[in-house]
Amino acid sequence: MAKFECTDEVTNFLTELPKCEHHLHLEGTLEPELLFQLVERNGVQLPGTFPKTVNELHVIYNNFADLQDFLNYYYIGCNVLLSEDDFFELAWSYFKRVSTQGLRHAEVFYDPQSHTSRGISLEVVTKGFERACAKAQEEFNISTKLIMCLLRHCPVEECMDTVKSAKSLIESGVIDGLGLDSSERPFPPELFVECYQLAKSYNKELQLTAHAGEEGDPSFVTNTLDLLETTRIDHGVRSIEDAELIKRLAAQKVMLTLCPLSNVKLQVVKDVSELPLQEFLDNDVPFSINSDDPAYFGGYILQNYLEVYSRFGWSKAVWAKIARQSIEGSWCDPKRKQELLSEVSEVVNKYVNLP
Amino acid sequence: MKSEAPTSNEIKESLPPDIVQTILPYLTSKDIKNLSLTNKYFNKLLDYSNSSILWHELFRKSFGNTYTNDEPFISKNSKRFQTCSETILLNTHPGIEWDKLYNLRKYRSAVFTWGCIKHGRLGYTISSNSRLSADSMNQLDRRITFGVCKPVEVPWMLYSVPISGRANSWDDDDTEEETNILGEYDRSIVQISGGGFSFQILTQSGKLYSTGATYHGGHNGPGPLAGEHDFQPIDETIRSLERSFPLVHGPFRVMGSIGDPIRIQNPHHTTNLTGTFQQHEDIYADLMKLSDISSKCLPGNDQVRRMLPKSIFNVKDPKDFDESMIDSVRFVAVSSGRSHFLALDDKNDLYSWDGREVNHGVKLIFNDLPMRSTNPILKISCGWNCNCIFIYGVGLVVWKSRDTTVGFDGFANAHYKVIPNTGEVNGANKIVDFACGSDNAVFYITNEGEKLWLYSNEIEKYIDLPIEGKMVKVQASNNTLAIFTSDTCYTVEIKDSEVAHNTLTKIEITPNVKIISLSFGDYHGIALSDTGDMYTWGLESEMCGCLGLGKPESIVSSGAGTFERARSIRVQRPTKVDIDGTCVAITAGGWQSGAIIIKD
Repeated sequence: MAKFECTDEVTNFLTELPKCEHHLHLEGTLEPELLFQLVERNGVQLPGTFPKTVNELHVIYNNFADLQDFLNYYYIGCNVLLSEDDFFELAWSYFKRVSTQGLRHAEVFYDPQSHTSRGISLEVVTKGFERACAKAQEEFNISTKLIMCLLRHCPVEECMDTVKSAKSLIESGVIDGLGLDSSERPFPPELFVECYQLAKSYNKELQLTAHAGEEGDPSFVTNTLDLLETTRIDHGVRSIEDAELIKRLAAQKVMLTLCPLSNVKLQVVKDVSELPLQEFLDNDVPFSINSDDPAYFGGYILQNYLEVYSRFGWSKAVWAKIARQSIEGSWCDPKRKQELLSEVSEVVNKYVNLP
Repeated sequence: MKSEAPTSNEIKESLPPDIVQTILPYLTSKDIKNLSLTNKYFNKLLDYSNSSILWHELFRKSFGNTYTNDEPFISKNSKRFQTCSETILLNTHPGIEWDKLYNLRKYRSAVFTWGCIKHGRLGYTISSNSRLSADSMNQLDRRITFGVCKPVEVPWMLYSVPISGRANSWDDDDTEEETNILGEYDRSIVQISGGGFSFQILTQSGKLYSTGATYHGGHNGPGPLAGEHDFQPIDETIRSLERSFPLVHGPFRVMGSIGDPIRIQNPHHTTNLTGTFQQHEDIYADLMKLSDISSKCLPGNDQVRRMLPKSIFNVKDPKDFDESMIDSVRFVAVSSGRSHFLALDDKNDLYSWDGREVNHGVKLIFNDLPMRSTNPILKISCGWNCNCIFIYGVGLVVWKSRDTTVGFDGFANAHYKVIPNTGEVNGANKIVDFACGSDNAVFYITNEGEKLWLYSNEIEKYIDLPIEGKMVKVQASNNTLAIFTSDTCYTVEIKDSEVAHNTLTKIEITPNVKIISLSFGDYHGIALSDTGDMYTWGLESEMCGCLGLGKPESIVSSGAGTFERARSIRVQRPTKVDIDGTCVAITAGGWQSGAIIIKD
């Protein structure tokens, strides 16, 4: 399927290109190696049918049948995370890995309800992630934002309780953003208006985003913008089906956080080449390229960039545009954005020979 | 035994014209048409080409429904009862016979909307309505559209031609003449009612529509209590269908504890899920059909959706669904609250759309109240987050929650209270009109017409306001109450279910303008005069355009309003809206407005 070869020069360029990640579930970075370590450390008993070795689990991860199949493993994976250190370690191993891939800024998701339902407090989970974020800033100069996601398949009342329990974390700005994930179609955005309004009432600076338009039709995207008042859409691939929406996304600079490898793994499209990336570029709809649940979907952020290159080719100028719109669409302060933008120019200038 | 058919003369003797005229109000339009085709006597008496009395009766039956709070009750004391649209048409079209006024109302009227355009609530989007021009839109450097600032016609069915370009139906050989009485009633709009986030629109055929992606805007209404959920027939059908295939399971739910084998019984089997699934893909065909039917849009307009009762989907197997059930319920009235609405059907059954999860109307049951055949519902009214209806011989009935529906039938009990001493059927204490506010607060006036009553926190009390003349009609929103006397009208603010006495204001436009109807949105008001003119005032938030007075700059430069905060405009005095026609009905939603406008 690959049409364009990722030469060493291309790979080096895309590695060095400053990247921002806006769509990454920390729970989705749990590699089989760490999973089995935690099983041992925490004395967790896995179901009898669960694979016994790292390699067997890798084989399963490479062969998900669909979203449901993936989620079954995903939620078992979550069960091995118990202490603050576990959460720290999970996020820290992600940052270590991507620090060599040119990642400069990360806005990462986590699902408190996957943990609070197991009796682990929101504070423990958040503290672990927060520590890893601070360390990433310190050691790798990766700036970060923490986004708490609500699980849309859970009852709305439970999501409200989650928001309420996060009040002090939202007020103090430890949680920078609110998101919404899990099965989209049966649980439309209008169910969560009150959750979003409540969260925003805690802190006017709270940023809002939500998964929409992955499985659901474009009206899910429109309603997410109108009703939840988000400034960003996670996934949003299916927006392309609605010309009016495309105009709106471009005009209001609503960034879509696309996840190419995830879309293929979960059979949203058969191949990365089928994604409407060129159409988004042509219509000036800003998007960023992200890894979603990289441990499960066979590739971290750089791999996603490389896969997209192999299907679309694209010149240095287009990649610079993607890097810039990812920075512009980030929630970091103007000074940080300026730093990153000048880094983009430096890298682009450095690869003089690349078309 | 052989019966002899009575002659025309015999019928005339037993049913003289004055008797027939007296019973006309009790017949449906269709009954009257059938009667007119019975024999020569009735055919001559009920002369569709000449009888103004007949057409007046048909007009009132079709367009003057008194089931909602737009009109007061018809009572012995209201001698010359006229609905708002009758009053307006008689004033604006003096000397025109009722057959022509009927046709005017039916064929030359259209729904216009303006204000906040979010999620299609106006019944159109920026690109779906060719009648929307750039000068009708409040935009920020052409990127963000805040709203529509002038009344714009909603695209409705076969009428691709805007109303101003349409032929008059009574003075030419228009084909519409053919379908005049028994034909297509879907084009003719009887009522429009504004909710917090949408409009509900009722056609002469009894079909109910709602604009936009959601009527509730994500807020819960006076439906099931927190934490309770209705039984969802279509979802249940999907679930049982999926259960019949052992390897397939429905929407997942995380449960159990760490390592609990229940959570994932056999991962190797679930890996084969897709295979099993695809072999039986056609099991979804009937369901998809049912799902399509259950969310039907207006032909040619995706922003207007048909609203159906839940009870028609009472089938366990989608194959058993009888498509003709769709038209089995005919609605005659609709009233809207902030994030809910009520509709009454021609059998006097009441349906409620009252929450985020309620896509189809739940039929309400009032346990222990007498049967509708003896004690019908005479008027329905939605408040902000509650409802009030008037039942003959029972009185005012209020509620703000209900049981959940449990089975396929789609019924639920309302958690209602009857306001004491409101059930008189005649005399000075008979209720003349009422208006529903929020949290089960209800304002009402009686035949005696001198006291305003407030039922709130389960206590009735009377409110003394310095109002001149007899009170004949009340209307309310979340924060405003309007009181009509025989001569004028007043508004007063409501705070925490109490009247703020010092805010009593007489609505005065000019001495010769008489207001006959008022409606309030979150921050704006609309008034309708007896000559079909429309006036608006209040706050236009965030450039939403709900006043319909044009662009913010022109409102301010004309002196009608002033800027308030960043992007809001305050218009203090009721200001006339340019509509180029005769307005016969108005409604204010949350941040949007609607009207039915006739263009000659």
